[in-house]
Amino acid sequence: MDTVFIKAFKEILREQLVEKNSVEIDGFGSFEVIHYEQHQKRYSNGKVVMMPPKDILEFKSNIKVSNDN
Amino acid sequence: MTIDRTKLVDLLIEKTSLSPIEVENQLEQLIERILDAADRGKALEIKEFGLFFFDQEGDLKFEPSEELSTEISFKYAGMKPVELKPERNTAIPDDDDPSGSISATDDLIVVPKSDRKSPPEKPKAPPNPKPAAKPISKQPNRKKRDRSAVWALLAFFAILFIGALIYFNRPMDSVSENSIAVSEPAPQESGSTDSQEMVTDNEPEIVSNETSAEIIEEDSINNEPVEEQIVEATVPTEDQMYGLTGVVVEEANNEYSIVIHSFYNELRAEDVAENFSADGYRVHITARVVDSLEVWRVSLGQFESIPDAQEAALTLPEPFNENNFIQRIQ
Repeated sequence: MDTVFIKAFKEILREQLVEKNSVEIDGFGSFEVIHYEQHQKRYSNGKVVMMPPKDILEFKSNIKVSNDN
Repeated sequence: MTIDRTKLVDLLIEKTSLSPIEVENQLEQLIERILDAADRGKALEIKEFGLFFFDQEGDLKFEPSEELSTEISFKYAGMKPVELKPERNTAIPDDDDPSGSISATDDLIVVPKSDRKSPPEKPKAPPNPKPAAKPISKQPNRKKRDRSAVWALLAFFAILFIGALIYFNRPMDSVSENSIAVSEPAPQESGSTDSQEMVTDNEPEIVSNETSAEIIEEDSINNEPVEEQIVEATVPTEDQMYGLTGVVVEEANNEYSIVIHSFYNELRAEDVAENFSADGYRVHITARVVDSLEVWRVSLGQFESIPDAQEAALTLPEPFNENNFIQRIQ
């Protein structure tokens, strides 16, 4: 596989995702940036924290393999 | 905006200067390699981009690299969870982090590279929950301690304030409202040590309102004779120099007298003095400063020595025969 292609693939996806654009590749999956607002979170030990906002990259794919083999 | 496959290919063509067919082929090869590696139980990592793998359920997953995650969430880089008060019920229950970790990357799903059947594990070491639990147990206690200290301090000042009010107000009230005598510590006299001790033991006590009222009535009756007595006492003889009764002799004012009353109010002292003067006593009103407050003492008689005064004090009516002390007149 061409390294130039791999490098270009990474850069394009990074550029688009940083701009919060989603990238859908038919037959493979889609990359999407999800924004999470700040929120309170309570742990099992009773500690409560305010989580900061963040942007998370999520990948969704319809490809699934069987666990039988 | 959504970049679909056609748009992605166009961008790749623009970036690589490859032909559309070559770009399509390269993209297909990349997808096949990812799927093939994942299918063989391995994860395919594209350096500085991320990791493709199949999870336990057989779904294709992607874990972005740390560089890519930071770049995407660059606006919030460096922000860390802030601990809140644990007592509040407004906290949102969390059901996705049983470990108690507060790492910002906990929401990310991590899958092992080697075993596709086993559940994915995070490459980083899990944080130790003990340090997180330590401050939680201490903080509420510290808050409680701070509040109790403040309350204790406030209570202390309140008690101090009330005590000061009582201390400074009570003597003045007793003089103005009840018109009674005010006790005070016995003064230091220049006489012998024995007589000083005796003097300090005999301090004036409070006189009841009834006694005062009786004295005032008698005073109103005997006002005129008192003035006559004072006028007549202009030329004293040697025998009349000292004594409990009679008229005040100016020449004997360097000697001693028996103190029976002390007042913060000068007018009140003068009233009482007039009453005793009407009874035939030699009466003096002397101003003194006691505990930074000015008092007016009412004393009876003129005596050459302290023993003479002590002896004469025994002849006074009750309660003055016991509650008195000796002082130098001037």
